[in-house]
Amino acid sequence: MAANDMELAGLVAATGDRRAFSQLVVRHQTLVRAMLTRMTGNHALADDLAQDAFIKAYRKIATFSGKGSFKSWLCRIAYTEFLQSARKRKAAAAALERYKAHQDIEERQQNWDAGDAMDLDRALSHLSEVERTVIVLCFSSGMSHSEAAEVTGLPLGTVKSHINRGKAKMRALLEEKEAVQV
Amino acid sequence: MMTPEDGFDARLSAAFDRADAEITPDESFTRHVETRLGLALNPRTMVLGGAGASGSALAASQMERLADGLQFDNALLTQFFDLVGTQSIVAVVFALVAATFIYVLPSRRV
Repeated sequence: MAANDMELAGLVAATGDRRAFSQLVVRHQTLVRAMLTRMTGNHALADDLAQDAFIKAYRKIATFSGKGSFKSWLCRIAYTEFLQSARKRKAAAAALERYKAHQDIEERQQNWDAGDAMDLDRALSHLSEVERTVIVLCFSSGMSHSEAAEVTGLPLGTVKSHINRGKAKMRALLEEKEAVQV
Repeated sequence: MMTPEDGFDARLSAAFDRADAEITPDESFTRHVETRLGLALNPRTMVLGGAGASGSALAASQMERLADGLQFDNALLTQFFDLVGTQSIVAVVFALVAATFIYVLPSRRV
């Protein structure tokens, strides 16, 4: 029987076992990469940040107490990596413009047939950073509002407010797009 | 009864599912992480490694002075020291201490 996340994390913390950690990477890589792709709107940047997040998780694994889920703990590290990356680009607005530019280049170069993903990423890019984060955590990573609060370090009520505001903006944007298409 | 809000939530979840389905498990991603784990040296390792190496160098320099002053009753030992030379013995001890640090530190944690 395959070991669960807690057992693998315990093994890594106790012995530094890299094979056990690789199993955690295999198990959670799509979750972290998807979350960061939706947050940044850029596949390459998201994969770089996801790698950094896993390396940091390995180094800090002794701090994983096992009180919450490993998934939430890992997503918190990934979220911190995302914030640090955005800060390095001075302002979130400037970073978003850069992500969009990267995205356009990437799409042209790879002829990536994104369809729904492009609509979704465009809608997400109109949200504030925190609205985008909590929407992605709840709708992409499948977290509860409480887990999203744990990952972002925001009060539960604030998370709910950001989700409602973010959803309202996305709804307006998607309906506007549909109206144009009709 | 399903509210318009529930309907939009379901639509949004479905949109995320379709978009995230494009992100598939990637073996090369796992390999990159494994490679970086193998190469990475964190500040703790560097500080401890540096301290260990400095300590070994200091101990080895003192050992050379000690070994020069040693007198053996045993002819075999005297012959051995004459043959190998004090510097070689000190170098071997230094290498052993350094090798121990190289082996122990990465096996604990990156």
